[in-house]
Amino acid sequence: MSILLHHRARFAAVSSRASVIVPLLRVIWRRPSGAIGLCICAVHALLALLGGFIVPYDPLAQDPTAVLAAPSFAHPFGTDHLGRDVLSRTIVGGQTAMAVTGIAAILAVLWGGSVGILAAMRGGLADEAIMRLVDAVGALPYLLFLLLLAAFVGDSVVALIPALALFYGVAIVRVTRAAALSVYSTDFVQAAIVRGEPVGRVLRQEILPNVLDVILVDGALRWSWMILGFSALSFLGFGVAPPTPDWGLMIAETRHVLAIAPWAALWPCVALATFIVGFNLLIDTAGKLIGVDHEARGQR
Amino acid sequence: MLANLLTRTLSGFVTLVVVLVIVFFALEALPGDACTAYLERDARDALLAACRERFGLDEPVPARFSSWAMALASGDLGTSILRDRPVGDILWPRFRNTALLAGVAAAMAVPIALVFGTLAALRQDGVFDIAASTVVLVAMTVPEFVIATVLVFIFAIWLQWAPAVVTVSAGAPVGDLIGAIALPAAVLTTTLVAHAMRVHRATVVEYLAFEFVEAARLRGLPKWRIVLFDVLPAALPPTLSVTAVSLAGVLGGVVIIERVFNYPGLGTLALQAILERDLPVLQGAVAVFAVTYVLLAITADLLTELLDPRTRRGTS
Amino acid sequence: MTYRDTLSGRPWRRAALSLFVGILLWPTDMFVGSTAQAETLRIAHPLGNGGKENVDPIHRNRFYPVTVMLYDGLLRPDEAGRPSPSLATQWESSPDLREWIFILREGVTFHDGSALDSDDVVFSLRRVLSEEIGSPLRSTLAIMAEIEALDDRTVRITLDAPNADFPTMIMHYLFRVVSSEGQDESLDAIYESGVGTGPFKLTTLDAEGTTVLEANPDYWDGAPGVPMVEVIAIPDSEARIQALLAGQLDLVRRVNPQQLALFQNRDGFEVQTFATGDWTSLVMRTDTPPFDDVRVRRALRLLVDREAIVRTVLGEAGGSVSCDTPVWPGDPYHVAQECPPDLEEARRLLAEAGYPDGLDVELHTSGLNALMVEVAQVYQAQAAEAGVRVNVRMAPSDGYWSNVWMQRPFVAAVWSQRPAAQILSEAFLSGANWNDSFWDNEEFDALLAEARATIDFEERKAVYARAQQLIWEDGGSMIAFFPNRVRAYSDTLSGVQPVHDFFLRWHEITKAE
Repeated sequence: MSILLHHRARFAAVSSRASVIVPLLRVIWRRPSGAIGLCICAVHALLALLGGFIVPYDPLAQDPTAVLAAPSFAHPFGTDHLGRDVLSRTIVGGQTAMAVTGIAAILAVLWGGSVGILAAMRGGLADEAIMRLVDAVGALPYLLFLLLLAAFVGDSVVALIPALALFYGVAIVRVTRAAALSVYSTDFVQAAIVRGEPVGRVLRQEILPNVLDVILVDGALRWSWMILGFSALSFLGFGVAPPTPDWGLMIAETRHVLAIAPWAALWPCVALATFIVGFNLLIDTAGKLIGVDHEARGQR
Repeated sequence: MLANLLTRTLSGFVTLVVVLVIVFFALEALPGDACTAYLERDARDALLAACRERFGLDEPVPARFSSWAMALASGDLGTSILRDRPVGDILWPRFRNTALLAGVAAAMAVPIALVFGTLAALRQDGVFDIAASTVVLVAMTVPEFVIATVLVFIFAIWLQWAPAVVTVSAGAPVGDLIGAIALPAAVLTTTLVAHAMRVHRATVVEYLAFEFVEAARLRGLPKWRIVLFDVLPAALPPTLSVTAVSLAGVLGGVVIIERVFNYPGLGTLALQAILERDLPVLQGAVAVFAVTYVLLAITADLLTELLDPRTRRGTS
Repeated sequence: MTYRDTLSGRPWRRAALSLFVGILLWPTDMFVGSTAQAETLRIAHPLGNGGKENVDPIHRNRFYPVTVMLYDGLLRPDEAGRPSPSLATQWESSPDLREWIFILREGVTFHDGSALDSDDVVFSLRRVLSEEIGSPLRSTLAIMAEIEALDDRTVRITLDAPNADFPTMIMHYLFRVVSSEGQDESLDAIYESGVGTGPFKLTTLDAEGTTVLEANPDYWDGAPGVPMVEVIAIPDSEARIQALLAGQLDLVRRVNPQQLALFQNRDGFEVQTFATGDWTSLVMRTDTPPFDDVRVRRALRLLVDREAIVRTVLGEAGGSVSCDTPVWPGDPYHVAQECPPDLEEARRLLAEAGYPDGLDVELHTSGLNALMVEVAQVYQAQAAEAGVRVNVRMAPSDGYWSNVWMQRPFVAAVWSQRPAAQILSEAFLSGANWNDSFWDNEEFDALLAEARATIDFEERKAVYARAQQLIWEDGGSMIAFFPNRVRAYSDTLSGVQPVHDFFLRWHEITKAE
């Protein structure tokens, strides 16, 4: 086991970030699931970046004469309950959620990762205290927790960022701590410490390279689930405020006409689902590839 | 082993206390209180003051916290602020209902996840694997209320096979509830299958690469025997333990299913308590959720430690 | 047998698939059907008081769908909305409109068999004024200075000021007569027995589950058309619609107009549309800048295209346009007004008030009512055309009425239908408890007092008309429409009158097998 991990550490430590990503993308591209994920993510990234320039209508413009209009040449995705173009709203509907949860995910990875490593390396009382707090947040029903936070921060989406980061970071603490602990307790790391190598160097050379991929993969996946949590908040009346086009909110707002004008909720649903599925395929493949590579090297 | 269990229980208890303290102060920090929720448009001036006095909300926060904590320490869950009934009486039938829903869902989800997860793992990256993974991801992605609405329109309104909503009271006998549980349980099952199957597939894949599988194959055993008698039993505990934990997680979002199907469970009660700022009820509900979570987590850990072939094989 | 044969062969897959489908569907087809009798009328209620419902008709937590079946008022509205006999058969006032005498119907008994007499009515009226009970009706009926029984069947009410519309106010849907028997003369206790004179008697009270009522065969207005009523708690509005479609309910009292299509191509359901006087307002605080300037608030109301709001928000069900008055077309004091959008005038007024480039305002609304959110959004879009940039802010629905409404300068609000005589003093009179625009107009106050003391109806109506014109010119509330309401029910029901729920005669409804 320790030998395996050692090789993994070397593999990750030797290759710098930039030189890993390009070949990794190339390898991902050769796998069917990776290629699909990559394509979906590329389309979503393009739409999110260019959305404002390519929408056929103003996503906020209401047309009282075309309320809940079925898909047609003028409105390929139909219109919603206030006569707004669903296509335009779907195109830009991911921006807010992606931005808000994206920042929150980065914050979550940063604080969750550091606290997790800290807990693993310090051990003892600090570890125990951190884990009890982490457990407590985990033991709260997540929707109630988010509701409490959302009610507290009011209608400001920006204020939701620290709330989401706090909540989702907790899970990252757990994952990071487990990963760091398994590296930290291996013979070669313990040996390095016994040899008197400085803590900073052990952290930089042995622990970080080994847990970084775990944290990044976990953080990325969690980001996509955060977007889902965001839509659940909208369903219960929190989250993004109307009239902002947002997938979760669009689905929730048109729930009452789901059986009459399914297109109003269908397209944001499709957008949300494809994004999360695509992103998960991509990250899963990437994660697997890192694992596969290290297995291959371990056997060699 | 026993010491380990004791430690886990103790730390579970600490977790519970931390949860209750968090909830107390979170609810305190929210805008509005039980009286503004109760009086609505009349919540101003004299009426508001009188209401706060009646429910003891005019006392400072630390005083209320200590009196609440004292009562709890002596085993008193308290009395609902506005309903004027002991919290326990309100809580238990709803806990039973949610537990029933979760139990039925878990009982349906685990076998499905095992079968499909194993099949997907055996043909890694095959057509079935990719299709199943995608379906699972979609099931996890589409908001529960959308799945629920679609199921209601198909099975309750179009085919008329199952009732659309639950109309029985919270305290109704289990027999009455079972009749109405089909659709909410199906939605919960879908989410749960998705989580459990992902994990089970990954576990089986991992175990298939293990030395003992390799060794067995070298001994000439057919693959189906290895899968059925070696890999599956070995992969079961991790799957079950992760299912237990994700069941706890899914229950955290059960409020949406309960609301859509009008199911008289704990989630809607907790949501209602947040809206009404009914602290004793919310604390009770959250405590039940937290205890369930801690118990499921301990069970999961024990399962892993007791049955994990890696630890077993390592020691034997 | 090789691995390939066993696991990837077709029989395996088929078996697995049928197992999956079987497990999903197994319990479903076994448990359809209701325990209720076929003739039971099943309706839903939204659990508005979250399980705290009681059967005291005047209490804040009244179980409203149930109390209207258990109890009767003194008067009830006729088809035109005017006061007509219920438990009182005749009523008249002294010439100065201060003393009102009500004569009770003969031979009416309560559910417990006791006879209705004037003591019960006096008891019921005095309870309304109890501070301890704190009924929402209290402020409306606080004008009653003295209530006394003249004999077994005659009640005299003396008001503290003349009021020509007292019968309209006593007709309020909350006021119901309860039995004074066994109440120990206490006016402050919550009335919990459920004993009334109404068409249905209470069998089981379970606000969070199913409440059961049975017919009162001795009802004075004829025995009810159904032997039993079940009132089922379903807080979620979509769940109520789905329950109706799935045959678990017989009637849904409120359907979103955009859902009409759900019923149009479906056999077995009736949809009924009727006008109401409910309204949604966007309220500016007239005591707070920039809305303390009449030109600003006039401009912000002038720019509204009310027809467009009705079309967008109310859909096929429609509604009638309001020119910011809360008096609906069904009210005897309604006056027809015209208020087409006038963007030019709005811009001119804004420029005059010092906002030549338009202005930015923050509008608070909340998801506690879908109309509040939708009206705010449509208003935002319309205001933009007049250069008014509205920032719509969603406030939490909890605590909205205490933290946002009557606090923030510009907010959305919803009200239910009320007679003119009541609402003008409840929400527009200066200093009134619910005067949410903080409007202080002496001329308006004087007109209201004048109207109340005016004996002749036409003269009175003219005074009320002037008061409403004043609201349009100077007020702070933007009221765009009165929505038609949509009610849907199973076509096995008959006798469902197209009137507001408040005044539906439940005992006239019958249900076929």
